[in-house]
Amino acid sequence: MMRGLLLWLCVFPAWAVVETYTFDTPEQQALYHEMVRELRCVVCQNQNLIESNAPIAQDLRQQLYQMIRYQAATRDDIVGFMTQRYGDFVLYRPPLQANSWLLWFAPVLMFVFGVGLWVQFIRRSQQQGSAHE
Amino acid sequence: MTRSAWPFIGFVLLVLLFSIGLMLNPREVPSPLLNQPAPSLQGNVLGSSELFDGHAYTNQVWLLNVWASWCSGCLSEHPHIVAAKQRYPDMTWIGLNYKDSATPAQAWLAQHGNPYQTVIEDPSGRLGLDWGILGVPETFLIDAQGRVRAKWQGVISEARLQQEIIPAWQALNAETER
Repeated sequence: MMRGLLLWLCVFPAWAVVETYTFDTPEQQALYHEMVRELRCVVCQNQNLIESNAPIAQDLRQQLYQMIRYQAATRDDIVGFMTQRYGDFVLYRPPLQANSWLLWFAPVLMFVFGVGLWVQFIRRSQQQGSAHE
Repeated sequence: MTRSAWPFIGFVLLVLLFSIGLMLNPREVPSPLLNQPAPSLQGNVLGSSELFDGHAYTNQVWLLNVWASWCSGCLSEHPHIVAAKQRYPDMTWIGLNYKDSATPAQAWLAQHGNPYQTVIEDPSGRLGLDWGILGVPETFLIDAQGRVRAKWQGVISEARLQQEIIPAWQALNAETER
């Protein structure tokens, strides 16, 4: 009970500032909720649109709402609209392209590198072990 | 080189990488508009019902200064813009009055001087959204082909004006005359 209340207190302030929009279909609503979490607030850089109460985030949410409800915008339309104005920077999931492949594949490369080092280490200690026998 | 030196070299490289990363300014977001056709700029002329269309300025180099009467940064950069306009009368400054209303904006201009050829109203910030405005003040330089060639975020200091904005404007003018 207490834990639930504390959790609620932590979560509540983030929602308090956000206006409620009503949509015609559940799909529109789902798209809106997906996009406000995926688009970054451009001035308060470590928040997405729904977490931020900056005026610009509010404007972008309103824009998003209008695009989804009245212009039947798809996910691609929205991403296109936002990146055309604010660059790839607004996306929390940057597109895979020439200047971002390192960002995308660095974890895999590091993993392969780490496994390589580990295998080498095991082999060497086995050789040393057998040399001692 | 001994084998044990490698982890140390790796460590030094990481420290270098991180210190370069820390020295970058995360607020400096490059505008995707650079070298792209300028977004349309259609709106009411400040305090009137007359419509303005930014396309009227194609074939000349112009500057778009985004400002508001409630913005303190705008007040501190304004004297520099006024002075630049006095020194270079053929410099075309267009104002975009961002999220403001006509009465305070006109009073502000009357009090602090008006270097703008035209001021366009953007009470809702919708034009600002098309231009990718992050906050006021912001300044754009548009070439004679109607492309955005430079953008300055934040206050224009005297140094910024003399070292960046005026030279960029002159270079574009020279490019146009050729």
